[in-house]
Amino acid sequence: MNDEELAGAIHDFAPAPPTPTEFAALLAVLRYQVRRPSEVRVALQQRRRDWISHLQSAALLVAAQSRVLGWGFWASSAAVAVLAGLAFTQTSLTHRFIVYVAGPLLAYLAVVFGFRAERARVIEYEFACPPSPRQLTLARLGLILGYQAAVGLCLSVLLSGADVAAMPTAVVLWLAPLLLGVGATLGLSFAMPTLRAATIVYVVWLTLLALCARTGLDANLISPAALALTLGAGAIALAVGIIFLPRHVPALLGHREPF
Amino acid sequence: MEALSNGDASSLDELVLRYQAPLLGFFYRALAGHRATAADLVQDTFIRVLRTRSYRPGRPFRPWLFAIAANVLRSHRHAATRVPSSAGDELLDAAVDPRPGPEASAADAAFTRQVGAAIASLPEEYRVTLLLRFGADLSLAEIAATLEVPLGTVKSRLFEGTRRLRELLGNLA
Repeated sequence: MNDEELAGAIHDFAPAPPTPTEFAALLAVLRYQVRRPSEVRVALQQRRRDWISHLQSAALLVAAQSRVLGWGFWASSAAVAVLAGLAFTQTSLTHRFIVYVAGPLLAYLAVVFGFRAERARVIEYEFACPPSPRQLTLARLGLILGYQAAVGLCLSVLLSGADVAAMPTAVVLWLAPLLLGVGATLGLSFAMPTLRAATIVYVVWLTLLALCARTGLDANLISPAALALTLGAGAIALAVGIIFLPRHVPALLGHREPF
Repeated sequence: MEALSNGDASSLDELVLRYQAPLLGFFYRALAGHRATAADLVQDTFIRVLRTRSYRPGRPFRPWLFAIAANVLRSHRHAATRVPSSAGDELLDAAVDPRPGPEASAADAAFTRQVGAAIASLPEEYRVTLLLRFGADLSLAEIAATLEVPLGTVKSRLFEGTRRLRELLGNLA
Protein backbone atom coordinates (compact mmCIF):
# COMPACT_ATOMS: atom_id res chain seq x y z
CA MET A 1 0.00 0.00 0.00
CA ASN A 2 1.53 3.31 -1.08
CA ASP A 3 1.17 6.66 0.71
CA GLU A 4 -1.66 7.80 -1.52
CA GLU A 5 -3.71 4.68 -0.86
CA LEU A 6 -3.04 4.97 2.84
CA ALA A 7 -4.18 8.61 2.87
CA GLY A 8 -7.27 7.57 0.93
CA ALA A 9 -8.01 4.83 3.46
CA ILE A 10 -7.78 7.30 6.36
CA HIS A 11 -9.92 9.76 4.46
CA ASP A 12 -12.54 7.11 3.70
CA PHE A 13 -12.80 6.14 7.35
CA ALA A 14 -15.23 8.99 7.93
CA PRO A 15 -18.41 9.39 9.95
CA ALA A 16 -21.80 10.22 8.53
CA PRO A 17 -22.07 14.00 8.23
CA PRO A 18 -23.86 15.74 11.12
CA THR A 19 -27.62 15.64 10.75
CA PRO A 20 -29.75 18.84 10.94
CA THR A 21 -30.94 17.62 14.36
CA GLU A 22 -27.36 17.30 15.60
CA PHE A 23 -26.54 20.71 14.17
CA ALA A 24 -29.52 22.30 15.92
CA ALA A 25 -28.77 20.52 19.21
CA LEU A 26 -25.16 21.66 19.18
CA LEU A 27 -26.18 25.23 18.38
CA ALA A 28 -28.69 25.22 21.23
CA VAL A 29 -25.96 24.21 23.68
CA LEU A 30 -23.44 26.69 22.30
CA ARG A 31 -25.80 29.67 22.15
CA TYR A 32 -26.00 29.56 25.91
CA GLN A 33 -22.23 29.87 26.08
CA VAL A 34 -22.00 32.97 23.88
CA ARG A 35 -21.38 36.09 25.94
CA ARG A 36 -24.03 38.68 25.32
CA PRO A 37 -23.02 42.32 24.81
CA SER A 38 -23.85 44.41 27.86
CA GLU A 39 -25.69 47.69 27.87
CA VAL A 40 -22.39 49.48 28.47
CA ARG A 41 -20.86 47.95 25.39
CA VAL A 42 -23.88 48.79 23.26
CA ALA A 43 -23.73 52.38 24.50
CA LEU A 44 -20.02 52.53 23.66
CA GLN A 45 -20.67 51.27 20.15
CA GLN A 46 -23.23 54.01 19.57
CA ARG A 47 -20.70 56.80 19.98
CA ARG A 48 -20.87 59.54 17.34
CA ARG A 49 -18.41 62.21 16.19
CA ASP A 50 -20.35 65.42 16.86
CA TRP A 51 -20.30 66.77 20.40
CA ILE A 52 -24.07 66.66 21.03
CA SER A 53 -24.18 62.98 20.17
CA HIS A 54 -20.99 62.54 22.12
CA LEU A 55 -22.64 64.05 25.20
CA GLN A 56 -25.72 61.93 24.61
CA SER A 57 -23.64 58.79 24.35
CA ALA A 58 -21.67 59.78 27.47
CA ALA A 59 -24.95 60.14 29.34
CA LEU A 60 -26.09 56.78 27.99
CA LEU A 61 -22.80 55.28 29.09
CA VAL A 62 -23.13 56.63 32.62
CA ALA A 63 -26.73 55.43 32.77
CA ALA A 64 -25.72 51.99 31.52
CA GLN A 65 -22.84 51.79 34.02
CA SER A 66 -25.24 52.80 36.78
CA ARG A 67 -27.78 50.17 35.77
CA VAL A 68 -25.09 47.47 35.70
CA LEU A 69 -24.42 48.11 39.39
CA GLY A 70 -28.07 47.55 40.28
CA TRP A 71 -30.35 49.23 42.79
CA GLY A 72 -28.99 47.12 45.67
CA PHE A 73 -25.65 48.90 45.48
CA TRP A 74 -27.10 52.42 45.46
CA ALA A 75 -29.61 51.68 48.21
CA SER A 76 -27.23 49.84 50.56
CA SER A 77 -24.49 52.43 50.09
CA ALA A 78 -26.91 55.26 50.79
CA ALA A 79 -28.21 53.46 53.88
CA VAL A 80 -24.70 52.97 55.26
CA ALA A 81 -23.82 56.58 54.47
CA VAL A 82 -26.98 57.91 56.15
CA LEU A 83 -26.30 55.93 59.31
CA ALA A 84 -22.65 56.94 59.43
CA GLY A 85 -23.56 60.54 58.58
CA LEU A 86 -25.98 60.62 61.48
CA ALA A 87 -23.20 59.29 63.70
CA PHE A 88 -20.85 61.97 62.43
CA THR A 89 -23.08 64.74 63.76
CA GLN A 90 -22.38 63.48 67.26
CA THR A 91 -19.12 64.82 68.61
CA SER A 92 -18.26 61.91 70.86
CA LEU A 93 -15.37 59.66 69.89
CA THR A 94 -17.53 56.55 69.61
CA HIS A 95 -19.70 58.08 66.91
CA ARG A 96 -16.69 59.16 64.90
CA PHE A 97 -15.45 55.65 65.33
CA ILE A 98 -18.64 54.45 63.62
CA VAL A 99 -17.76 56.59 60.62
CA TYR A 100 -14.41 54.84 60.57
CA VAL A 101 -16.23 51.50 60.41
CA ALA A 102 -18.60 52.73 57.70
CA GLY A 103 -15.94 54.00 55.27
CA PRO A 104 -14.35 50.62 54.56
CA LEU A 105 -17.81 49.05 54.58
CA LEU A 106 -18.63 51.30 51.63
CA ALA A 107 -15.38 50.19 50.00
CA TYR A 108 -16.39 46.57 50.56
CA LEU A 109 -19.81 47.19 49.02
CA ALA A 110 -18.18 48.97 46.10
CA VAL A 111 -15.93 46.02 45.36
CA VAL A 112 -18.66 43.43 45.78
CA PHE A 113 -21.04 45.26 43.43
CA GLY A 114 -18.49 46.71 41.04
CA PHE A 115 -16.72 43.52 40.03
CA ARG A 116 -19.34 40.87 39.55
CA ALA A 117 -17.75 39.45 36.42
CA GLU A 118 -18.74 35.83 36.78
CA ARG A 119 -22.33 36.45 37.73
CA ALA A 120 -23.00 39.30 35.30
CA ARG A 121 -21.59 37.38 32.29
CA VAL A 122 -21.19 40.52 30.21
CA ILE A 123 -18.51 41.12 27.66
CA GLU A 124 -16.93 44.31 28.90
CA TYR A 125 -15.83 42.57 32.07
CA GLU A 126 -13.86 40.20 29.90
CA PHE A 127 -11.24 42.19 28.14
CA ALA A 128 -13.15 42.82 24.93
CA CYS A 129 -14.35 46.40 25.29
CA PRO A 130 -13.59 49.12 22.70
CA PRO A 131 -11.78 51.41 25.19
CA SER A 132 -9.13 49.73 27.28
CA PRO A 133 -10.14 47.58 30.25
CA ARG A 134 -8.24 50.02 32.45
CA GLN A 135 -10.41 52.92 31.23
CA LEU A 136 -13.57 51.00 31.87
CA THR A 137 -12.44 49.77 35.27
CA LEU A 138 -11.32 53.23 36.28
CA ALA A 139 -14.62 54.69 35.09
CA ARG A 140 -16.46 52.24 37.27
CA LEU A 141 -14.15 52.85 40.23
CA GLY A 142 -14.63 56.59 39.77
CA LEU A 143 -18.38 56.23 39.61
CA ILE A 144 -18.53 54.04 42.69
CA LEU A 145 -16.03 55.90 44.85
CA GLY A 146 -17.41 59.26 43.74
CA TYR A 147 -20.89 58.25 44.75
CA GLN A 148 -19.80 56.82 48.09
CA ALA A 149 -17.66 59.81 49.02
CA ALA A 150 -20.19 62.36 47.77
CA VAL A 151 -23.13 60.84 49.62
CA GLY A 152 -21.14 60.54 52.83
CA LEU A 153 -19.72 64.04 52.66
CA CYS A 154 -23.00 65.72 51.73
CA LEU A 155 -24.77 64.04 54.61
CA SER A 156 -22.01 64.81 57.08
CA VAL A 157 -21.81 68.46 56.11
CA LEU A 158 -25.58 68.80 55.98
CA LEU A 159 -26.09 67.19 59.34
CA SER A 160 -23.27 69.09 61.00
CA GLY A 161 -25.05 72.34 60.14
CA ALA A 162 -22.83 73.29 57.18
CA ASP A 163 -19.98 74.03 59.55
CA VAL A 164 -17.11 75.09 57.27
CA ALA A 165 -14.51 74.40 59.95
CA ALA A 166 -15.67 70.80 60.28
CA MET A 167 -15.46 70.13 56.54
CA PRO A 168 -11.77 69.14 56.29
CA THR A 169 -12.26 66.66 59.14
CA ALA A 170 -15.36 65.32 57.45
CA VAL A 171 -13.49 64.87 54.20
CA VAL A 172 -10.60 63.06 55.82
CA LEU A 173 -12.76 60.94 58.10
CA TRP A 174 -14.78 59.66 55.15
CA LEU A 175 -12.10 59.48 52.55
CA ALA A 176 -9.16 58.00 54.49
CA PRO A 177 -10.61 54.61 55.43
CA LEU A 178 -12.55 54.42 52.15
CA LEU A 179 -9.40 54.90 50.07
CA LEU A 180 -7.40 52.55 52.27
CA GLY A 181 -10.10 49.87 51.97
CA VAL A 182 -10.31 50.11 48.18
CA GLY A 183 -6.55 50.36 47.72
CA ALA A 184 -5.80 47.38 49.94
CA THR A 185 -8.53 45.35 48.25
CA LEU A 186 -7.17 46.19 44.80
CA GLY A 187 -3.68 45.14 45.82
CA LEU A 188 -4.85 41.94 47.45
CA SER A 189 -7.15 41.05 44.56
CA PHE A 190 -4.12 40.59 42.32
CA ALA A 191 -3.38 37.44 44.30
CA MET A 192 -6.87 36.12 45.09
CA PRO A 193 -10.54 36.43 44.05
CA THR A 194 -11.84 39.96 44.47
CA LEU A 195 -14.66 39.11 46.86
CA ARG A 196 -12.29 37.23 49.17
CA ALA A 197 -9.84 40.13 49.07
CA ALA A 198 -12.57 42.62 49.98
CA THR A 199 -13.77 40.42 52.84
CA ILE A 200 -10.27 39.96 54.25
CA VAL A 201 -9.54 43.67 54.10
CA TYR A 202 -12.76 44.59 55.84
CA VAL A 203 -12.40 41.91 58.53
CA VAL A 204 -8.79 42.95 59.20
CA TRP A 205 -9.86 46.57 59.41
CA LEU A 206 -12.66 45.79 61.88
CA THR A 207 -10.29 43.66 63.97
CA LEU A 208 -7.81 46.51 64.07
CA LEU A 209 -10.51 48.94 65.16
CA ALA A 210 -11.76 46.53 67.83
CA LEU A 211 -8.21 46.07 69.15
CA CYS A 212 -7.69 49.82 69.26
CA ALA A 213 -10.97 50.31 71.10
CA ARG A 214 -10.14 47.57 73.56
CA THR A 215 -6.66 48.89 74.32
CA GLY A 216 -7.82 52.48 74.51
CA LEU A 217 -5.92 53.52 71.42
CA ASP A 218 -9.01 54.62 69.50
CA ALA A 219 -8.30 58.29 70.26
CA ASN A 220 -4.89 57.91 68.66
CA LEU A 221 -6.43 56.19 65.64
CA ILE A 222 -8.62 59.20 64.90
CA SER A 223 -5.86 61.70 65.63
CA PRO A 224 -4.90 64.02 62.75
CA ALA A 225 -1.58 62.21 62.32
CA ALA A 226 -3.21 58.79 62.11
CA LEU A 227 -5.83 60.12 59.72
CA ALA A 228 -3.20 61.66 57.48
CA LEU A 229 -1.26 58.39 57.56
CA THR A 230 -4.38 56.40 56.65
CA LEU A 231 -5.24 58.82 53.86
CA GLY A 232 -1.70 58.68 52.49
CA ALA A 233 -1.50 54.88 52.69
CA GLY A 234 -4.90 54.59 51.01
CA ALA A 235 -3.95 56.96 48.20
CA ILE A 236 -0.65 55.17 47.60
CA ALA A 237 -2.29 51.72 47.65
CA LEU A 238 -4.95 52.92 45.20
CA ALA A 239 -2.38 54.54 42.91
CA VAL A 240 -0.19 51.42 42.88
CA GLY A 241 -3.26 49.28 42.27
CA ILE A 242 -4.31 51.42 39.32
CA ILE A 243 -0.79 51.43 37.84
CA PHE A 244 -0.60 47.63 37.93
CA LEU A 245 -4.27 47.20 37.03
CA PRO A 246 -3.92 46.35 33.30
CA ARG A 247 -1.64 43.41 34.05
CA HIS A 248 -4.04 42.03 36.62
CA VAL A 249 -7.46 42.91 35.24
CA PRO A 250 -8.32 39.27 34.40
CA ALA A 251 -7.65 38.16 37.98
CA LEU A 252 -9.37 41.23 39.38
CA LEU A 253 -12.49 40.45 37.39
CA GLY A 254 -12.58 36.84 38.48
CA HIS A 255 -11.45 35.46 35.12
CA ARG A 256 -9.19 32.47 35.53
CA GLU A 257 -8.36 31.70 31.91
CA PRO A 258 -5.35 33.29 30.21
CA PHE A 259 -6.08 36.05 27.71
CA MET B 1 -14.43 34.40 15.46
CA GLU B 2 -13.90 38.14 15.79
CA ALA B 3 -17.62 38.80 15.28
CA LEU B 4 -18.42 36.14 17.84
CA SER B 5 -16.11 37.65 20.44
CA ASN B 6 -17.91 40.95 19.85
CA GLY B 7 -21.15 39.31 20.87
CA ASP B 8 -22.52 38.60 17.37
CA ALA B 9 -24.40 35.38 18.10
CA SER B 10 -25.39 34.88 14.43
CA SER B 11 -21.78 34.14 13.51
CA LEU B 12 -22.00 31.06 15.73
CA ASP B 13 -24.20 29.34 13.11
CA GLU B 14 -21.54 29.94 10.48
CA LEU B 15 -18.78 28.67 12.73
CA VAL B 16 -20.63 25.45 13.58
CA LEU B 17 -21.76 24.93 9.98
CA ARG B 18 -18.19 25.22 8.76
CA TYR B 19 -16.34 23.19 11.39
CA GLN B 20 -18.74 20.67 12.95
CA ALA B 21 -18.13 18.06 10.25
CA PRO B 22 -14.30 18.38 10.12
CA LEU B 23 -14.10 18.16 13.90
CA LEU B 24 -16.47 15.20 13.99
CA GLY B 25 -14.28 13.46 11.41
CA PHE B 26 -11.14 14.18 13.44
CA PHE B 27 -12.55 12.74 16.66
CA TYR B 28 -14.35 9.88 14.93
CA ARG B 29 -11.11 8.67 13.34
CA ALA B 30 -9.13 9.16 16.53
CA LEU B 31 -11.68 7.15 18.55
CA ALA B 32 -11.91 4.24 16.14
CA GLY B 33 -15.42 5.10 15.03
CA HIS B 34 -17.19 5.94 18.30
CA ARG B 35 -19.52 8.49 16.81
CA ALA B 36 -21.47 9.50 19.93
CA THR B 37 -18.28 10.14 21.90
CA ALA B 38 -16.85 12.01 18.92
CA ALA B 39 -19.97 14.24 18.83
CA ASP B 40 -19.55 14.94 22.57
CA LEU B 41 -15.95 15.95 22.03
CA VAL B 42 -16.98 18.24 19.16
CA GLN B 43 -19.31 19.99 21.59
CA ASP B 44 -16.55 20.21 24.22
CA THR B 45 -14.23 21.73 21.63
CA PHE B 46 -16.72 24.41 20.61
CA ILE B 47 -17.41 25.25 24.25
CA ARG B 48 -13.70 25.62 24.87
CA VAL B 49 -13.44 27.80 21.75
CA LEU B 50 -16.15 30.10 23.11
CA ARG B 51 -14.66 30.27 26.58
CA THR B 52 -11.02 30.75 25.76
CA ARG B 53 -9.75 34.19 24.82
CA SER B 54 -6.43 33.10 23.39
CA TYR B 55 -7.41 33.61 19.73
CA ARG B 56 -5.76 36.65 18.18
CA PRO B 57 -7.40 38.21 15.09
CA GLY B 58 -5.34 37.61 11.99
CA ARG B 59 -3.95 34.32 13.25
CA PRO B 60 -4.90 31.30 11.09
CA PHE B 61 -8.08 29.89 12.58
CA ARG B 62 -7.91 26.21 11.61
CA PRO B 63 -4.62 25.40 13.38
CA TRP B 64 -5.89 27.21 16.48
CA LEU B 65 -9.16 25.27 16.38
CA PHE B 66 -7.48 21.91 15.87
CA ALA B 67 -4.97 22.68 18.61
CA ILE B 68 -7.94 22.97 20.96
CA ALA B 69 -9.43 19.79 19.50
CA ALA B 70 -6.13 17.95 20.06
CA ASN B 71 -6.12 19.15 23.68
CA VAL B 72 -9.72 17.99 24.13
CA LEU B 73 -8.78 14.59 22.70
CA ARG B 74 -5.76 14.39 25.02
CA SER B 75 -7.91 15.25 28.05
CA HIS B 76 -10.46 12.64 27.00
CA ARG B 77 -7.75 9.98 26.64
CA HIS B 78 -6.28 10.96 29.98
CA ALA B 79 -9.66 10.71 31.69
CA ALA B 80 -10.44 7.43 29.93
CA THR B 81 -7.21 5.83 31.15
CA ARG B 82 -8.00 6.84 34.72
CA VAL B 83 -11.72 6.05 34.75
CA PRO B 84 -12.92 2.96 32.89
CA SER B 85 -15.71 3.80 30.45
CA SER B 86 -19.11 3.18 31.93
CA ALA B 87 -21.52 0.68 30.56
CA GLY B 88 -23.86 3.59 29.81
CA ASP B 89 -21.38 5.20 27.43
CA GLU B 90 -20.84 1.97 25.60
CA LEU B 91 -24.57 1.40 25.33
CA LEU B 92 -25.02 4.91 24.01
CA ASP B 93 -22.38 4.43 21.37
CA ALA B 94 -23.95 1.16 20.39
CA ALA B 95 -27.46 2.60 20.32
CA VAL B 96 -26.60 5.67 18.31
CA ASP B 97 -24.45 4.08 15.67
CA PRO B 98 -23.12 0.59 16.14
CA ARG B 99 -21.49 0.63 12.72
CA PRO B 100 -18.44 2.64 11.79
CA GLY B 101 -20.52 4.92 9.55
CA PRO B 102 -21.56 5.14 5.92
CA GLU B 103 -18.54 3.11 5.03
CA ALA B 104 -20.44 0.10 6.36
CA SER B 105 -22.44 0.10 3.18
CA ALA B 106 -19.32 0.11 1.06
CA ALA B 107 -17.76 -3.02 -0.31
CA ASP B 108 -14.57 -2.57 1.67
CA ALA B 109 -16.30 -1.96 5.00
CA ALA B 110 -14.19 -4.54 6.78
CA PHE B 111 -10.98 -2.96 5.54
CA THR B 112 -12.16 0.50 6.60
CA ARG B 113 -12.87 -0.82 10.09
CA GLN B 114 -9.38 -2.27 10.17
CA VAL B 115 -8.02 1.14 9.24
CA GLY B 116 -9.93 2.64 12.18
CA ALA B 117 -8.59 0.03 14.58
CA ALA B 118 -5.06 0.49 13.27
CA ILE B 119 -5.23 4.29 13.65
CA ALA B 120 -6.55 3.91 17.18
CA SER B 121 -3.65 1.66 18.13
CA LEU B 122 -1.03 4.16 17.02
CA PRO B 123 0.76 6.23 19.68
CA GLU B 124 -0.86 9.61 20.32
CA GLU B 125 1.65 11.83 18.53
CA TYR B 126 1.60 9.78 15.31
CA ARG B 127 -2.18 9.33 15.34
CA VAL B 128 -2.94 13.04 15.77
CA THR B 129 -0.37 14.06 13.15
CA LEU B 130 -1.73 11.59 10.61
CA LEU B 131 -5.33 12.60 11.27
CA LEU B 132 -4.56 16.30 10.97
CA ARG B 133 -2.78 15.66 7.67
CA PHE B 134 -5.02 13.12 5.98
CA GLY B 135 -8.29 13.57 7.89
CA ALA B 136 -8.46 17.32 8.42
CA ASP B 137 -6.36 18.18 5.34
CA LEU B 138 -4.08 20.57 7.21
CA SER B 139 -0.79 21.54 5.59
CA LEU B 140 2.49 20.56 7.24
CA ALA B 141 3.00 24.15 8.41
CA GLU B 142 -0.51 24.24 9.85
CA ILE B 143 0.10 20.98 11.72
CA ALA B 144 3.34 22.39 13.11
CA ALA B 145 1.41 25.46 14.33
CA THR B 146 -1.38 23.29 15.72
CA LEU B 147 0.88 20.98 17.69
CA GLU B 148 3.45 23.69 18.44
CA VAL B 149 6.30 21.53 17.19
CA PRO B 150 8.96 22.21 14.53
CA LEU B 151 8.19 21.40 10.91
CA GLY B 152 10.87 18.71 10.93
CA THR B 153 9.12 16.95 13.80
CA VAL B 154 5.86 16.95 11.85
CA LYS B 155 7.61 15.39 8.85
CA SER B 156 9.30 12.72 10.93
CA ARG B 157 6.06 11.91 12.77
CA LEU B 158 4.23 11.63 9.46
CA PHE B 159 6.91 9.36 8.06
CA GLU B 160 7.05 7.16 11.12
CA GLY B 161 3.24 7.19 11.59
CA THR B 162 2.69 6.18 7.98
CA ARG B 163 5.27 3.41 8.29
CA ARG B 164 3.70 2.05 11.48
CA LEU B 165 0.18 2.26 10.06
CA ARG B 166 1.25 0.45 6.92
CA GLU B 167 2.85 -2.22 9.06
CA LEU B 168 -0.25 -2.61 11.21
CA LEU B 169 -2.51 -2.85 8.21
CA GLY B 170 -0.15 -5.39 6.68
CA ASN B 171 -0.35 -7.49 9.84
CA LEU B 172 -4.13 -7.19 9.95
CA ALA B 173 -4.42 -8.15 6.32
